[in-house]
Amino acid sequence: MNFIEVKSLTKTFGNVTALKNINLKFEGNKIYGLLGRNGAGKTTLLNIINNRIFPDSGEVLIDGVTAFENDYAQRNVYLMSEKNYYPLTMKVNNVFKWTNEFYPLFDMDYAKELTAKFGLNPAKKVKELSTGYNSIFKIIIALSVNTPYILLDEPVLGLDANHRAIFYKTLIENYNANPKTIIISTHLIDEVANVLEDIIIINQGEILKNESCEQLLTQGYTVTGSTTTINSFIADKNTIGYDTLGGLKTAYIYGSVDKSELPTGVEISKLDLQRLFIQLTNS
Amino acid sequence: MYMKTAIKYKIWENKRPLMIYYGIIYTILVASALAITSADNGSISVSGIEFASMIFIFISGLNYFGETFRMFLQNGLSRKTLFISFVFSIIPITAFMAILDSINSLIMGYITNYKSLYLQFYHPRYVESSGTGLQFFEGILWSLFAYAMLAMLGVFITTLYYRMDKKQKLVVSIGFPLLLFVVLPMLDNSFTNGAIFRGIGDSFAFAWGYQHGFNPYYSMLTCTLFFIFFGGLAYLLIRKAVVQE
Repeated sequence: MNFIEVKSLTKTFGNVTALKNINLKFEGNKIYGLLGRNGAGKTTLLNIINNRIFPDSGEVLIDGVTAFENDYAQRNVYLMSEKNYYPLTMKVNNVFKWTNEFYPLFDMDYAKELTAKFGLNPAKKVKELSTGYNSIFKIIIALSVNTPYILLDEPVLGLDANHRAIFYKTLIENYNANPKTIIISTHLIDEVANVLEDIIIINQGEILKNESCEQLLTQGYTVTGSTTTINSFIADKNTIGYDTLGGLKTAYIYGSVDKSELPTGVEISKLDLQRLFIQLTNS
Repeated sequence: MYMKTAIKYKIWENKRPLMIYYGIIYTILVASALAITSADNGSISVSGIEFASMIFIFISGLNYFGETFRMFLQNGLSRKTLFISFVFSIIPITAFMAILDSINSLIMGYITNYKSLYLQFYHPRYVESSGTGLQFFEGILWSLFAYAMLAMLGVFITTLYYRMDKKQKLVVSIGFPLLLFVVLPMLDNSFTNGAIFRGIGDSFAFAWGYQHGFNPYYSMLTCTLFFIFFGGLAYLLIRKAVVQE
């Protein structure tokens, strides 16, 4: 059994339901995108998988065994979270040293290589790192621990464009050299879209979509034309949203298109992931 | 394997504070020894420096939880492993301190008129005994049990505060001292004619072995029971602790 299974997971904080009866399966050696708006429940889900918080009900299985209070199951998972959990006064190289103790498959040479690649000073204390370098320091650990499951919660937070490019490139290289399950939770959907195989869209604690990226994007299309033409074209279509600019209207439609049906003056294009996400979660 | 690493981490974490602490202690002891030996009228004396160790270990206990909890969760360790690593790291740390403090007391006793805290409590037990071997051994044991109990008390207090919300913290922080230092003495004065504090005093004398020929094994047993009691409470609090964002 090589998967993380989330069964009937519910979590509430006071009177806010963060997760509502979630059922999911993260299969082995795949890159998942966990997408959702702020407060959708992404971090809560990742924190529960990593045993940082407890659900109200439901369970999480890692390779068939419970994830809760289980050192052996958690040995297979590494969660890089937005918040820092390392001692602030500890030096980066000491964090690497201790990660190596806790995760025996941690590749110290690779971590040092990435440290140089990203320009991180390992002699610095965690508290001395800027927001961007704090993310880089955690990215380096996540990519070096060699666990079968890596969960990345907002990995590119505070990273400049150059560092983000290095990160995506390194992530793909790492995955190709050593396939594993990577779950990326991020708001920068456009950037990450190219590396994702499967997409899970979570909205207000519920799973809205759980499909392959390719499948998801072929399920809809975009049409642009004059407002009158588009209005009449979309009348019997499953429209998930639209934008209007002057006399021009762009509509986002779910379903397949019969190109012979297209009125003259209407342009058709693919949905992009970010637009689809915005439309789906724009409630 | 994870347990061994967790214990190793906790001991490593305490290494630096211990080095700083004993650096200060040795500076004080050497300065005191020099001052005492050069003063001819015996006007200077130093004793009971173990009390500083007690404060140090208690404060260490107060710092035992928060940062380590986050570090261990980040590294996939369960709360159970966390708690067991606390217990098994407290023991070698306090044993090290107890041995070192007893050796310091012994050396200082030879050079100066130094009296250890243990000897101040249990001196009558050794009045008729000429050898210092038993006194030294029992001193180590007594310090070990007392230090371990204080460390666990610190762990319990810090986990209690970690789990409480703001209102609960306020109630406990104000309510407990108020109960202990205002309400209880008032009740004792007004209604029980001193019976409450006499009872506390008697219980202390019993638990400390004063009523049984200044027997330190009574206090060791008392410390063990409190260690288990505070440890049990701390475990119940740690068991369901979650990261605070």
